[in-house]
Amino acid sequence: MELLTIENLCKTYGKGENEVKALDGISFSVPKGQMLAIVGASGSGKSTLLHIIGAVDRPTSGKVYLDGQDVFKQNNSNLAIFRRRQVGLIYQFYNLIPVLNAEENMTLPMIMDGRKPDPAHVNKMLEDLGIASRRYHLPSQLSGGQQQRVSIGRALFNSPSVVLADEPTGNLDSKNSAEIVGLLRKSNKELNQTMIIITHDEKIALQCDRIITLSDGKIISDSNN
Amino acid sequence: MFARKLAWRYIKEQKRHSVLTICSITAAVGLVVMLFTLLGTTLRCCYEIQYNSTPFHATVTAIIDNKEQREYINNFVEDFRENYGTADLYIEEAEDDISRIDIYCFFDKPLPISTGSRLDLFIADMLAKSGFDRNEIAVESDRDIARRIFIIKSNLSLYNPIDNVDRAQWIVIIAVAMVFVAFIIIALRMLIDTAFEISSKERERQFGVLQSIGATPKQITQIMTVEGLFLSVVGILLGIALGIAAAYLVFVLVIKSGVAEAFFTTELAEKALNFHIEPIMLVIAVVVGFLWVMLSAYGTGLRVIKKMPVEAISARSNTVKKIKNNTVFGKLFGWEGMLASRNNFRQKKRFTISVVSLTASITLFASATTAITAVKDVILKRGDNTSGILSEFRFNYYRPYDNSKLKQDIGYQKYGMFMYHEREDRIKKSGIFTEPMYMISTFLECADKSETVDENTYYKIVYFNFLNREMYEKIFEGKPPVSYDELSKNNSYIMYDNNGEYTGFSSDTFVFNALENVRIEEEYKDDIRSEYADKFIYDGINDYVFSEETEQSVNVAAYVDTQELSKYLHLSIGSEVTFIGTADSFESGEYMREPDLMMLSNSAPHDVYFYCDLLDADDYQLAADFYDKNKDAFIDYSDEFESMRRTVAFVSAVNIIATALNIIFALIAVINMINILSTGIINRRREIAAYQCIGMSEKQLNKMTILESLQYVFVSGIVSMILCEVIMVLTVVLMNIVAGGAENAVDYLFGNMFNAFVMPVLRVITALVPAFLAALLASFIPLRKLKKQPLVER
Repeated sequence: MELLTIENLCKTYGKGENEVKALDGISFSVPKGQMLAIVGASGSGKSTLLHIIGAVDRPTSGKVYLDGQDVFKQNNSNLAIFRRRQVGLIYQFYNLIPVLNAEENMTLPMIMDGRKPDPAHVNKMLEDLGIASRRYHLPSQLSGGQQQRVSIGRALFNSPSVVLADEPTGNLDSKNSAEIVGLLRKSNKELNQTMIIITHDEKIALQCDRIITLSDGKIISDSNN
Repeated sequence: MFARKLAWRYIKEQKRHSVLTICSITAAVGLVVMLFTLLGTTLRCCYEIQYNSTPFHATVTAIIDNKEQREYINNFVEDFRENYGTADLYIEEAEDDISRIDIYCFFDKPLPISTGSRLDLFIADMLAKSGFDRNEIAVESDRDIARRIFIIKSNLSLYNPIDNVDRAQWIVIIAVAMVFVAFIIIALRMLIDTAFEISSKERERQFGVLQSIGATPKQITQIMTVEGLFLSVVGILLGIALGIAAAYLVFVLVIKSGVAEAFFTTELAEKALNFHIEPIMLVIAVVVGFLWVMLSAYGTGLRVIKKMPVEAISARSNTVKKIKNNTVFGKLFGWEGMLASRNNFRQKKRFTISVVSLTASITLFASATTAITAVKDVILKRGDNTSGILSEFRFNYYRPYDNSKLKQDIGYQKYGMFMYHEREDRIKKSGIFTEPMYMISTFLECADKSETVDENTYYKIVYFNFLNREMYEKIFEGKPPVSYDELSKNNSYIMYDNNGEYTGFSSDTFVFNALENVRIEEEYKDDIRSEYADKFIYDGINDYVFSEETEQSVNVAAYVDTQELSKYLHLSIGSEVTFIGTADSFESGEYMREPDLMMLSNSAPHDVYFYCDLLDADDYQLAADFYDKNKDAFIDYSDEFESMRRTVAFVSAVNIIATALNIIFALIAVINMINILSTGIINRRREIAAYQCIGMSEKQLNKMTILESLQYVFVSGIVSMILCEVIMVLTVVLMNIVAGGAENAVDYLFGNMFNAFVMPVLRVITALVPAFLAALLASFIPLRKLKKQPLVER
């Protein structure tokens, strides 16, 4: 059963002479529970692809189906709800809200959804991520690794259909990198969480179930590990 | 809930933004409250002044001659008092049962609309209802002397609208004020908008993140509007306090500037000139302020959600912007100039907003101060005797035609002349005036024998003005064509004519037929008229004057150009030919020694004008008292001091209000600039660190920052100069239309055309200096803080 299907996805920036094709007819599918790595050189279109899957950007043409639903048929409000419930995004630079503490940042998507986070779930999540003692700290008071754990917590907290991680370890040292990948892998295995990870790190890519390689906005290889 | 929490956090955590946004709201609301309060206070003072002098809306004046009519009046008064307000009666009984009754009507509520549109018609209907014949009542539009009753509306109703006509006038006044306020309010919207725009711009990435993790557009706009709500509460309250305090300060300064004393008695000033806060206007200011904040907040929210989350997060746009390769600053200041230019222009909207607010402030300052200085200069010029006013006071003594009265004058009895020295002594002894200058003035009608004159100008008035030494020196500004002593010694005159007809006159004598004027008593009029029919020169109003021609000549020592003396208008107005002699010559009897002239001088009227200033400006009341006590000595006095004092007080008041407005406008511009420039630096901390990482020295960084600030000020300065020049051109064109000749009008106001256009430019440059300093401070304070952080951290 395919969870995510991408059909002929194109994204261009600028017009005429300045036109840049970031994605050029990308199509693939991801079954539920798969951990997919997208690799490629800088400027190959990895991040653009991830952003479109996460519905934070719109494609120039092509379709994205998640759970059989045409993602971009929705209006902006529904897209926001879609992102809140179905997608968990992890950025290289964490992108935490600086005025909220670790716990608040983590639970934010659920709060925005008008739901009250279950304290037990919050505690377990913070424990699992190893940041229980830092729960009331603001992002500026946390290290890079701790901020990324909060970011992962935020992505996973709502149990989304798919977790998208854009170079999640790109800004971290090797010890923290290994721990972060371990956390992602754990949730993939234990919760059967579908994940798409963009990475430059071959080691991380090799830990994934499948690797798609992009070049100039096109898929040049798609292989299972 | 979530939006409220996040908004509150943003306010608390982003203190600098919150403070700057509150400052913007405070300044905007403060300005509106100040204007409204000043407007309310002015209207209230107008009402109080009117009320204290005429405490009624209308007067009914009735001439009645029987008891029945008295009954009608009683009916009217009863009805009025019962239903509409107070009516005070003043009855003046005359002979034959005729009485005059004045009823002063004060309405304590507006007229019901349904009863008609006009106060006077309404009262007329009431009177008719009381029993009078409607045809006997004259209202404003049909004042008819033959009617019995007159209804006259008082000016009080203008400030306390009673009928539809008053209401309409009221609406016009309010509308005009509102148009002015509306312009300012629209400008203020920009200020509040900028504050929110900057605050949101800095958080754009965070809003992008929020959207990417599922915040709906509605929730994002909610965060902004809730934030606006919190900030507006504080900003509006502070704005009200600031606005009222500023208005009160302006009010106190205006009152203390001398306006009250100049225009009103102390009693009236105390009663009528009070600070007044108009609750409705305050409510309007609050509602407008609140509305603007919420609109700005909501509008900013809408702008934020327009972007896809990824665009907001990565600060990447799908549109490709063109960059100017060659900028003026780049050419002038090298690569630092080019970078400064690009940094400023990449945030075009911010740059524009900042430049517009700075330009508005500078233009207002330059044009308002230019106008006020020009008006002040005109007043000072008047005080400086360049527009016909020699002194603050002029006391007149007049010797009438009637010689019998003159002959009672002991001076005349003793010396055969009238006693003006006695008057001069009174002025001197009063101790409140400067040494008086004086002029003895008389005139003769004459038939001009000069060959240069055609028939139409045959009959002329010849004025003889005998000036004392001080006045002589003053009007010739120390450079008389002939010295005072020489003129006295030779019993000569300086000649000038107001019509410029004697240009080129070079003879040393002026020959004319003096017309001896003889007043004829009414009873002999017909006899003399028939006997000397040919000697009645004029008919009509001069019917009683009978003139006889006697040939005369006067020595002319010099001829002066009319233009030179025309500024002393009182010397030349109405004159056709004027001879200036000396008081010494007059006193030595030279003027009167000539037998024919002596005869004429006895019959012609003489005026003596004493000119003096106050020794101490505070002694004004003493001067007025002096005149009251010396009415026997002076026919009248003209008080230039009073009008100058009023004008100076009025200009000072305008100046204070303009300065207050200027300060608030400057404050708004500075808040805007600090907001924009400091935010610009803080937002670019990473970028600035990058510059330093690749080797930019502190000196180069400072240069770039100075150039960025300079560019704001430079562009604002250029635009302000253009605007000021446009305003000046419009002023000149307007003056041309109003005065019918721009050149003279402009000269009068600004000195000359060059001044008119250079003055505002100089003022713009003056305003640019503090603006530049403020810009530097706004950039360098955050930059200094930034520099303290290690490069890697940034």
